[in-house]
Amino acid sequence: MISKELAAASSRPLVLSILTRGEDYGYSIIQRVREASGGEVEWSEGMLYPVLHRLEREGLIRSNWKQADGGRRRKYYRLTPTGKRSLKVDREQWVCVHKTLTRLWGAQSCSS
Amino acid sequence: MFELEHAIEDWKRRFAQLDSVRGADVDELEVHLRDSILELASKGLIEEEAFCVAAGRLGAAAAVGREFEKINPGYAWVRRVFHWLASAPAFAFLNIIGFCAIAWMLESQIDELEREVRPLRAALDGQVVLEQRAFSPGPCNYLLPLNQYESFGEVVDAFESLVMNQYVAAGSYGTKWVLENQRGEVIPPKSRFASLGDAGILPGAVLRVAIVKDGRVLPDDR
Repeated sequence: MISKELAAASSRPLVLSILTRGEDYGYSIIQRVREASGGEVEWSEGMLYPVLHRLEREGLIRSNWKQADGGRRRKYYRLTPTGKRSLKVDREQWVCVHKTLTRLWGAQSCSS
Repeated sequence: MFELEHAIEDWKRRFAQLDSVRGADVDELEVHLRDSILELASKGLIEEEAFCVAAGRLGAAAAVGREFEKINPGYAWVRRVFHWLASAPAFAFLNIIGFCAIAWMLESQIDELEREVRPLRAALDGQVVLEQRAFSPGPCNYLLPLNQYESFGEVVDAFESLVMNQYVAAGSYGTKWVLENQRGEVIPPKSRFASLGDAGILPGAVLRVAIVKDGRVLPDDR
């Protein structure tokens, strides 16, 4: 399980990365983060929404309320072109940190 | 006896009371809570357990509120001022100052509002005038772009979640909303329709807002 601080710092690239696959809503974003991390990245779920709203304010994502087929009305978020560019920069920086650490430590899986 | 809908209402109220959380934010959190309850119930949890686990995963209202405040400190601050104003009804002049501030705040929040609501399906290019009857020091009309809303209920919800909730919640006041179409028919507040045009609401429709206390509409002080 990663620390609260790291979870907060990584929330932005995680959300943006998930939205590269298409629009999505809060609950589903959390499920996908959980699946992709094998349960290692767990957020206090309510904290996702201020993050989403901040990203929207920065123009990286956009939202609209929509009713999925037969389902309940949900607020869907999608990536904007600015968001895509921002993710590219984020990605370069995270890869840089990752490479540096793996060079120093040698490759390890995140659960070890 | 555990009642899921009551529990959800109580839970929503705790979030709605927070200065930094808007009505639309509470709606979004509620959708999440319900999704989570459904999934937990499908894994065999009884309703009460599913609710407790889902609410726990979302986090305590105060903690979530603090995160919302970080992204929107101005909004929380303005709401606090209104709580304070509304808690001193004896100082009528403060209420008057408060409503002038509401008018100013509403204007500054309209951009935000517009992003949060869905565009009207059958777009109608007009405006609805929100006219506040009681406690208003002169022409305190609010203009909301009608074509941003899908129903009268949404117009009211948007306005209430912005301005009126904090006033009403803090004192023993309520609000009465009256929307008349151009045929002189009163549209029920929570009615939904495919388009505002279908309900006979055309550009220039007037939505009157009055403050009610103990079920009585307070007199227009103009």
